[in-house]
Amino acid sequence: MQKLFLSLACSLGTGSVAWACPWCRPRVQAGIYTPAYTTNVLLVLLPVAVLLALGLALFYWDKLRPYFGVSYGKS
Amino acid sequence: MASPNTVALRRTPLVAAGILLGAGLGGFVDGILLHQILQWHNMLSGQLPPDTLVRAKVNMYWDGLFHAAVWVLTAVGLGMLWSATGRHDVPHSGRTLLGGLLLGWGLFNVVEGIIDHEVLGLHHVYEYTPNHLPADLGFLAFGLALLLGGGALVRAGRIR
Repeated sequence: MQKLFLSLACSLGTGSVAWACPWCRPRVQAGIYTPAYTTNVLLVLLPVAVLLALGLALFYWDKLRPYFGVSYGKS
Repeated sequence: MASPNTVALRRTPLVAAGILLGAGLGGFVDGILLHQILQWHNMLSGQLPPDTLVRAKVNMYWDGLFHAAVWVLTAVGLGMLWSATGRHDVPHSGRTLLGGLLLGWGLFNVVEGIIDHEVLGLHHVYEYTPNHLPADLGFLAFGLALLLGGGALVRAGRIR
């Protein structure tokens, strides 16, 4: 029984699934770090940056308002 | 100096905190539900279809970057909420906060839907169909419904 488990563990360890990552990792890295890497980063982050800017502008609106010359009269 | 009873109340810090928290959590709904569980699209699946293991793993990297960004959005929103709740000029209103959360989720859908799906074409809501428009429009319509619901809740939480 021990031999059976040992041979099963060995076959799993040397099987195609276990070798998949060492084999594909350089190709994955080559697919990520292309000449378009910086462009892709900026494109992926663009919507989040827009939302972050909106939220921050609203949170600090009272401090920002004078810079934009917005006035709601006396309150 | 104005006392806490006479100071003018402002809801914008609470709404802003709710918007960032809602946008961050809405981003997680998109990433967890549509990218990972349903696997309808990935971040760059419009340009790099995940039809091989290598391409799927490259898309996984960009999904990870997107998740990191919405995590930052959520963390900043949490910081704002902490700051807003400590201010005596910001009312403690559950309706306003919930409205802000819905506004944020709706804004996420609309902003991400317009920029990523329609303008840049990085991906579409459901990639595995020749006609991407219905699902893309459904995503935008859900965002608009959230904006309307959030706006109504924020109005309902108004100080009278």
